[in-house]
Amino acid sequence: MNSKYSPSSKDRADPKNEATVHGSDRTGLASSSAKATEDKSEAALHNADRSGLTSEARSANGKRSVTGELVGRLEVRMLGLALLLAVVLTFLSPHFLTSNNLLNVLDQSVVVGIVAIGMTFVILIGGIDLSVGSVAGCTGVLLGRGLEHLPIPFAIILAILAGCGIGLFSGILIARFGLPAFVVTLGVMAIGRSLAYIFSGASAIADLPDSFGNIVYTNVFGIPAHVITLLILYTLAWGYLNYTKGGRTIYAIGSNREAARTAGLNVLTFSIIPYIISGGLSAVAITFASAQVMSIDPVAGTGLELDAIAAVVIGGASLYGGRGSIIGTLIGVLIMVMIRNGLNLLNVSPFWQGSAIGAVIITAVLIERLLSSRTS
Amino acid sequence: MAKSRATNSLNQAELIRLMVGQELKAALRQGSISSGVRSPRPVILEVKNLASPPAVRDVSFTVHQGEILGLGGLVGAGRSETMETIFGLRARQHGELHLHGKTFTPKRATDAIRAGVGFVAEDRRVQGIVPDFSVRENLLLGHLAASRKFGLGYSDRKTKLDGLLEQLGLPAKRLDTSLLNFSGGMQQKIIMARWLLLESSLLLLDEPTKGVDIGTRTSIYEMLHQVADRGVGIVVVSSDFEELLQICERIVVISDGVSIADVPSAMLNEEKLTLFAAPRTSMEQNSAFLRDIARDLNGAAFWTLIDQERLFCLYTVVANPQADPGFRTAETPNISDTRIPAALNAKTNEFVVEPENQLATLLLSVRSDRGHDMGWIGVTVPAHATRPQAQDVQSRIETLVGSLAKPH
Repeated sequence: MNSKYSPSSKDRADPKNEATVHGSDRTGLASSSAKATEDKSEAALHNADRSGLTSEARSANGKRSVTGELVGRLEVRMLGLALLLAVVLTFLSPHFLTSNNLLNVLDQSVVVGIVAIGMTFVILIGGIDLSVGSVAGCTGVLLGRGLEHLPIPFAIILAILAGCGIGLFSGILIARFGLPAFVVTLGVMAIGRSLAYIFSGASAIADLPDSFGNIVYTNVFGIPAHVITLLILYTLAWGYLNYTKGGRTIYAIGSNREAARTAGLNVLTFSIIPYIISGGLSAVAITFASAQVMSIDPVAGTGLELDAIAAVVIGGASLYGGRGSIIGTLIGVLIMVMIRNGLNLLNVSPFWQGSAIGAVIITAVLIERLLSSRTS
Repeated sequence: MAKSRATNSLNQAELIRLMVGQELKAALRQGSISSGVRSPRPVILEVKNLASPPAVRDVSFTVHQGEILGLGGLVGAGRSETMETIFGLRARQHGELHLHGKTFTPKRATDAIRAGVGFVAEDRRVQGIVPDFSVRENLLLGHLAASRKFGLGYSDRKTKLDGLLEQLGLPAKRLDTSLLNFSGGMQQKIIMARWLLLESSLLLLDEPTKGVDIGTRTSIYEMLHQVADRGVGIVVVSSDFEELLQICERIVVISDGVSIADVPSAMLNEEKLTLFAAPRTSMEQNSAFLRDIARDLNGAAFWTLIDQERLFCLYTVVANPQADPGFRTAETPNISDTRIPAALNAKTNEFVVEPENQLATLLLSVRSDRGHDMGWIGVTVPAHATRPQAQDVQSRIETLVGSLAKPH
């Protein structure tokens, strides 16, 4: 049940591996920008969808059937895709539809799922947070250092506060000083990873207190605590985004920042809050990731930003902001994890996973695009 | 197609009537506007020497209950910025605001909204509509900004919202569709209705009919009058001076960030408003001319519009206090209240000596190269001073007018 964000102990034990780690980190960065470019063009497509959707609604003249309404919702289509994937995997592998494997899927969804909540907030205001992976790495190391001196809850709170603080720092630079989110979080990404190495002395912290693992392996009604935490966080985020002033303000900012400002909404505060949430949740995610492997490594969380962004995009959010949903993100996370899980069950080389997920992202968006243009 | 007509047989009003099927002016309350004098109503907003540089430098005006006040001026004169400053979207450097008699210091838009001020910005697409929100949420955006609750509190406004739909002519079933599917006019009405939902007592509307088709404009005017009749004060910015003069009772003219005149609409027409609204920088040449002439004659020089019994003074320079004509730049006194009523009434091309104070005034009509009436330039000298030749002054004015035609 190793999380892919925490390198195996074999990797950690190899001192020569540090160089490889650096190297892979660098390629990670390079691919991250390439990926982001890809996402931008995808967002352009999405934005074009906006007009398509409008005329779709117009042609229906406000009178849409309930079915039409449901099918019209992106999350519902994505849920359909997730179910289709589950059915196909069930047929392909006898091991897929077992309670053990389903729990496994959920277990693997926890880390990226939690980070993707914060990423959804950030993307909804039209921002991006590339730093989540290294904030996770950095706050993870802080957690490890904290666990050496503090009771477990205090160490966790310390790590979460540090994550929130880093988010606040990025958020202020972006919202108050108008710097591009991409650049600021790219910088914080580099700083965070570097601090992770410095605070950890570039080596893993393995002697964690045994009871630390309880946050993952305590079962409530047969469901692991971290999965329950994930579901609670999604419920809270869903309620916040749909039924609170702050949540609607976040949508309004992403949809039209200037209109939100002119209408008197608190644009500055609610442009910063998503980054705070994103930073804080990165720390929560690394807490669970560390408890899963009972070890904290400075390279932990590498590549997490790409998975989180991918989940949000598969979940139907527009990178221009204002469109997307937390339920869509959850479905996006599940689709990604199921693809990985399915490929593992089918004994496909793990090197194919990136291709599969990349293909799903592109296909999902392409289908969206085609559906919208056909209906218009 | 209603009719096919030769273009040259149509004028603008006729064309609009053919298109819309009614006179636009029919929607306007001519009576209340033309009377000019109304019973005193409580002041809603008093703006005193408001400054938010660089756009707003010194703006003062008052808005009464149930009044539609126009801010006239050219694009870039600081009208929109004045509104934004009152609404708390721009930092105020100095000046005072009084709302319902109390000092009002909006530090952000929320303060203004909670105090009962609503603002509809000029660009509906950029500053008004939240495209991913339904009509309902767009309507409730002002509520969201005003609300102190953590939750949405949409249900608090349900009754009011239902009532508004009727007023807007909006079917309830379209509340949850996209606002982008509606006509520009309906979009504009919905954005205005954000503030009606909150029962704001003062509306600031920047170009409320921009991008709205000419027929729908009438319904927006009607809506404004209905709202004003309920006691709401409305301030309108419009670059369409004809519209401004039609819908507003009074016009405050703003030029280069300074409010320079406060005139009842009934006393203005488009040409005069345009002359008032000319930027001060382009007036600089004219005022330099008046300064020179006042100094040379050791008297006073002024440029004014004369409307039957009233003056609309564009610029006055008094070099010699003894020759004071009794009005200053941007003042609008009655002719009888000035020190030179005889000359102002006579309007001859000769010096006229006042029987009361012996001031001698020469008043010359100014016409642009294209023959447009641009008011009068006058020079006043003290009782026993030597008077210049009228032809000399006339030729100096012609030189000035000739140079006005050149591009700056």
